[in-house]
Amino acid sequence: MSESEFTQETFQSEQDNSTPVLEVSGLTKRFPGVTALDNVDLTVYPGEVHAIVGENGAGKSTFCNIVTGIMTPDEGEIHISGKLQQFTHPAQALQAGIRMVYQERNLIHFLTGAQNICLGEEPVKWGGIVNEKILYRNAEKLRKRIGIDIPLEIRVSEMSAAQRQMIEILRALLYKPALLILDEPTSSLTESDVEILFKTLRQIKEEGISIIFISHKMEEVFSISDVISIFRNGKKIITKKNGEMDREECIRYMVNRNIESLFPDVHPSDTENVLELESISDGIFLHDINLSLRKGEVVGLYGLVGSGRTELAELLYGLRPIKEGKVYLNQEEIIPSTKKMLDKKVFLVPEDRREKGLFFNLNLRTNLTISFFDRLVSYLGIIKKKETIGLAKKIADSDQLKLKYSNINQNIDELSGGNKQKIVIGRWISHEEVNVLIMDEPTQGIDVGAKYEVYTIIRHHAEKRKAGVLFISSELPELIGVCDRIYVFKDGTVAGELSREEFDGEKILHFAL
Amino acid sequence: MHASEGVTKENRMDFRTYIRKYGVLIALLVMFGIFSAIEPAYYSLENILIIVRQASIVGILAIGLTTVIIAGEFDMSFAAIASMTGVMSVFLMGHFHMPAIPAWLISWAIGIGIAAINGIIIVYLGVPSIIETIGMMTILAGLTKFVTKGATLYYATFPDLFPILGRAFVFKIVPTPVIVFLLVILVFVIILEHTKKGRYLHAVGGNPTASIHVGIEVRRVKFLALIISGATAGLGGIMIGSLLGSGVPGMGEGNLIPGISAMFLGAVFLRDGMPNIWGTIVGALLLAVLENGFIMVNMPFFMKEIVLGSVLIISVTIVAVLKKGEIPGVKLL
Repeated sequence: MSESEFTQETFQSEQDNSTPVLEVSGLTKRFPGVTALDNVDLTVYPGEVHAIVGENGAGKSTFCNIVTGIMTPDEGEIHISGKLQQFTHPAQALQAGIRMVYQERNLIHFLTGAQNICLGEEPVKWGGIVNEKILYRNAEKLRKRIGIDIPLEIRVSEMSAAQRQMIEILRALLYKPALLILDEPTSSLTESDVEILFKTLRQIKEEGISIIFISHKMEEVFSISDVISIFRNGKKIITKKNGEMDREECIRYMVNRNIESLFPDVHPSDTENVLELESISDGIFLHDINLSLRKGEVVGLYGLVGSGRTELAELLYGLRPIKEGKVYLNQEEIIPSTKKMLDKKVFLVPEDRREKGLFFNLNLRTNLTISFFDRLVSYLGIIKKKETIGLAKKIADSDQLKLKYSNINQNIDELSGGNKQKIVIGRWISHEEVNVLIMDEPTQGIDVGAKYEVYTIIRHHAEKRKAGVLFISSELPELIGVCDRIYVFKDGTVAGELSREEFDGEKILHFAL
Repeated sequence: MHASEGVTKENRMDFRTYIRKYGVLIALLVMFGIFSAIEPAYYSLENILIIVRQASIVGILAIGLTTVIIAGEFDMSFAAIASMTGVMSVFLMGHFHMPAIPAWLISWAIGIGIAAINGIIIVYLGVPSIIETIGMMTILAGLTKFVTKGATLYYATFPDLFPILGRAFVFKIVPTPVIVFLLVILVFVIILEHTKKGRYLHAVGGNPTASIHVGIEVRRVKFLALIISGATAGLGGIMIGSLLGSGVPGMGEGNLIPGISAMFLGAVFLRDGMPNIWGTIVGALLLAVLENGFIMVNMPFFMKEIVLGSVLIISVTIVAVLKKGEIPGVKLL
């Protein structure tokens, strides 16, 4: 507690209007195969609301993780209120006056609002007993100072989403930070709640606290921010004052073009539907989805994270219920289940291969052949080892996959991200027949070379093997390069459909935002 | 990195990996050597077979537990199931004068039935397995006391076959439990390492979400694992009954901690913290070597529990370090 009081003093003495609260220069962070943050400069002045916008994977999260000390940069410097800082631990960033309010809420539901605000900073009496009276007084003082109307005595479990968000923000403000970072703070709020939140943010700004506001909702960015910075592919593209840039310009900066040359030549196709969805709803989030996929066609599903694309893939695999609507496979109605889809040769390469695709306790051979066991067993279910090894090698060495491995029985954790992804892809494309291939973010976290190989696999399956491919991605350039058609998802439904001739980054983003 | 540096580094890593992989087996041999040096009678063929007999019942129970852990669940009730089936087999033969084989089959079925109840509650109702099986263990402790009225069940006449699973010898020297243990090992090595179902058990324990995506029926496989544990526990219980020649309420309970210890010791063997059948066998043998040796060197009576508890904590600690804090099968909530 005494430490926090000390830091509070320091911020106030160092805060005058000329020194920036946060000044980063040349910030760079590389991950294997990808530069997540590339030479970023950014300056935030006291009392400024600085919006950072960009597509998924533009580098916004990495930026926040570095500024809050969760990750260390490979290159670059961070100055906080004029002082050079090298964070190796999040506690140091807190100490320097940087507070982040996370998307996922970190509240303890059975405690009251005030108790949550003072969590970890409880005033004590008699050597260890929480002094509830002072605790409530502290929380109340803070509430009054910020000037928002929120009950402090009721439990968080009984609060609305907006109220919880306020409690979280108040907690971050308990010891007047220099900089408050809000990551998508409105994603679970209703419109009127957003208004309340913005009123609060303006109050905080009056206090001289700077705010970094991360969002991809244009309207909100224009309504709250003083300055807007746009990130794309790990680079900061531009910083402009709010008012000097309109929505169209903003979107133009967010979209990457001039990358199409990377992709294989694309040939549109015109055949019958292999998959058709008719006003599909799951009764929870997805609603009224109409979608079709032709044989030999690559159809992209674009949208922001949480727009319903992965959920749709899961629904097709019977992993989510269907409340309304119909699914047709080759003109026949089908009630989706994993088993039926596998029987009909509809294969899903799930997003997040680590969580949903790979078995780290099993070796490479088994990971490649696990979908073939039914035909690799002899009597009593005993696996034919020789045949399994032969098949695994055949899959791994196939022209499509060209897996780089040292031993077919090796531990898969030692393989690169791209090769891990190829295991999950290879598991399915090695079947003699592929009717529909659903690829959910197959290029995430793999290097450019491996990405290109994945694009080739996708095109090959559409053109040569006459499969229908659903390609889910958050990277617009790759969808524009590979797909014959794109559906844009927003809030659990299809917000727009574009044929190849209509492909245009700005247009697609308009549907998605 | 220079090439030469790389080579030496790799060699050193290989040596360390070797120690880590075979540490439990090395410990088994070293302990055996120490006891043999103290007392030459220790390494006689007779004593070695007695050690293996001591290991066999714990080993059979621990193999069932290992199967459940591989599938990502835990079973605390296996020793209690063994008590129940053991008591039931003695009761059926003594009280109802039933021939040995039907009595064994009925009590074995009871063990499997209890495991099925575990399975339904854990897999289909979603109760954490460690909690549910602690509950079942407690219920069974009460039920065995009910059957035995809290006393030792002993009867004047038993079928001639009764001692064959516990107290008999083949060729006058090999104890029958050792033969049964070898058969169980054979069956489970095949199931766990060489069959489709065995591969699915590993898959379900390793990544349930990915298992669903490749079309494995996760619940059914986990249910099967719990049933298997009930079957091995039932077999173990029948053998304990046959060995003791009577029915005692808590006759299987002494196997709980040794069984868990054997499994965790085994997890350190071969597969970097992942429980596996060969490891469990070596773990059970190590425990038997220790127990037999301590008796031989006249270790004070209270040392058995102290050593057993220490072995459990040390082995779980090694697993926790290897798996970075994630103990396989142990999920409280």
